[in-house]
Amino acid sequence: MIRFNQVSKRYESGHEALHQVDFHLKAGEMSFLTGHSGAGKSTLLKLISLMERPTEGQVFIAGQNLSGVGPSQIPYMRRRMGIIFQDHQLLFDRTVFDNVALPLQISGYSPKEMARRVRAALDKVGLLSKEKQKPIMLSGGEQQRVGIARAVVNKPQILLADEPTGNLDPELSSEIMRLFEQFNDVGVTLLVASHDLSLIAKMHHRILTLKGGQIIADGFAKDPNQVEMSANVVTSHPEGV
Amino acid sequence: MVFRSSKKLQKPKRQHSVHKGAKFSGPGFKQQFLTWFRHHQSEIKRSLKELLESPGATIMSMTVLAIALALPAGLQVALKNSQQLSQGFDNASRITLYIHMGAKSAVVETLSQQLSKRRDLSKVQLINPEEGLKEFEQRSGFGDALQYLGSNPLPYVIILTPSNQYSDVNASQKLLLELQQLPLVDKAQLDLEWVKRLQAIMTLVQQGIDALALLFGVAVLLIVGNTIRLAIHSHRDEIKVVKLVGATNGFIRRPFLYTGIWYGLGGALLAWFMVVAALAFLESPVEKLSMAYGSGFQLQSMAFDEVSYLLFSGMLLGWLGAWISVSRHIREIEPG
Repeated sequence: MIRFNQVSKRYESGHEALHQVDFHLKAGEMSFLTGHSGAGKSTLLKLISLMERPTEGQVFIAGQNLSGVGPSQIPYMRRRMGIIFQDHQLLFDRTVFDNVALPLQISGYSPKEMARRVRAALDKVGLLSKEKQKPIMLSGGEQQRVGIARAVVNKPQILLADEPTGNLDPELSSEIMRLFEQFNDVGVTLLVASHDLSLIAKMHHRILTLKGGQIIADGFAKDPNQVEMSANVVTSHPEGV
Repeated sequence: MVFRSSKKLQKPKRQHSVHKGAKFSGPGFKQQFLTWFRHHQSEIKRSLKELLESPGATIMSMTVLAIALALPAGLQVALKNSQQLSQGFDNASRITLYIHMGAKSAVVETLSQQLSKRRDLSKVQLINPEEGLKEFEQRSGFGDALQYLGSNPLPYVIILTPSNQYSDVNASQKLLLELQQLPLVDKAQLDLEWVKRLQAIMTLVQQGIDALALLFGVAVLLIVGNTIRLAIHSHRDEIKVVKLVGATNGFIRRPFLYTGIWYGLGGALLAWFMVVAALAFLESPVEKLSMAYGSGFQLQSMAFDEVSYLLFSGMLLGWLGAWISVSRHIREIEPG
């Protein structure tokens, strides 16, 4: 579903954010992406969501080479994936309902179908009762769940999350992660960037570890070496959130 | 509590097939068109609502636009009124008949009397050679030289003024051709030069107003463009988010285009109001003046088609200004 083929990304400043990254995430797979800040996690997600283009190599989404996707096609590619951010990226002048309805409004659904899907998505994240409120009235965890509802309302094939639990306490974080697992259960491919190693380790999913723009480990959290190694990286360079 | 809807999530097969089946699992074309239409409707309302939320700034921008639109519109109305006035001058067009040299005074006088009975002529003036010579002496300053001439070289001259309904250029030209056929007439001349000059001046003024309208039209484009640029800037975060969830540039452009149209329409309406107010202000002095001249002149306001033209131009310029601005700035705002 997501395939990186010798992908490098060098920014105009000369900084090489990714160096010959190779991995393949199969359809329906859930994986974490970890590494300390500056390791290239965000860049990797931006290449998938077409916010950035690789300097070398190819990125494939569902078999389609993204280098062949022109600017006018980018919106349609993005509609096939849900993106979740640490800072939620909600519109604060609109209600929770309208925020979640945004992707459907863009794709052109009828109001009836839109309402049905928005309510289903809000129900999934447990916020059905707050649909008429403005995001500012919600807690951080609730705002994040609105962001998740918006990302899944279009029933995307792929969900990308960039530090989705960055601002949340451990209990809320694991709630969010369990929510992701439920989406994974229905066949959605997930790639979650997170530095919360203790949380990731508990979840028994594939972990891609980035360091200095390269994948230095790719495996499951059961492997104690990898977790330890990653943990060491984190403890020696605590991430400023 | 958060996951109370887990039942819904346990129907994976159907959803899964949707993901794999269609490349883009969206609504059908007809549905998309309907929603596109609905989105237009909602954006028309939303953009207006947003403008009304900050009435002070909106009115100020619209007033600037109104001044830029009212100037050419007002000049156009002024020109229209002066054209009406110059139609009055047209009535004064004159035809001069030069009679054959040998013609007897009695015959010429009979002709003059016949002419004065015609309904298409309002005034007939006969000038005999002696009168003509006297006038020439006075005006030319060749008085002494003329004394050396043995005989009077001037013919009889009849000056005719066409009556009102025959006074326009075409009718008097026709009249001229007819009078030229008279046996006594050597040469007939229509005194049209100054009418033509006036018309040339009017054309020039019209072109000047057109050029001015073009200039102010560009000003309106720039004003709207800049206003929209600021609006885009204040919606920067929103545009980023909307782009991230897959909005096309057309979708993002739409509300700004409607904002531009609203600005244009508001500015044009205010411009109309300004012109009407200026005319109302001028009405009574103009009336006094025209009464003093015994003229039936009345100040003409903007006609229906002129108002429609003003409003339509305003909206078009607003839309175009917004379009140029949005197209330029929307590309700069990219998520990431």
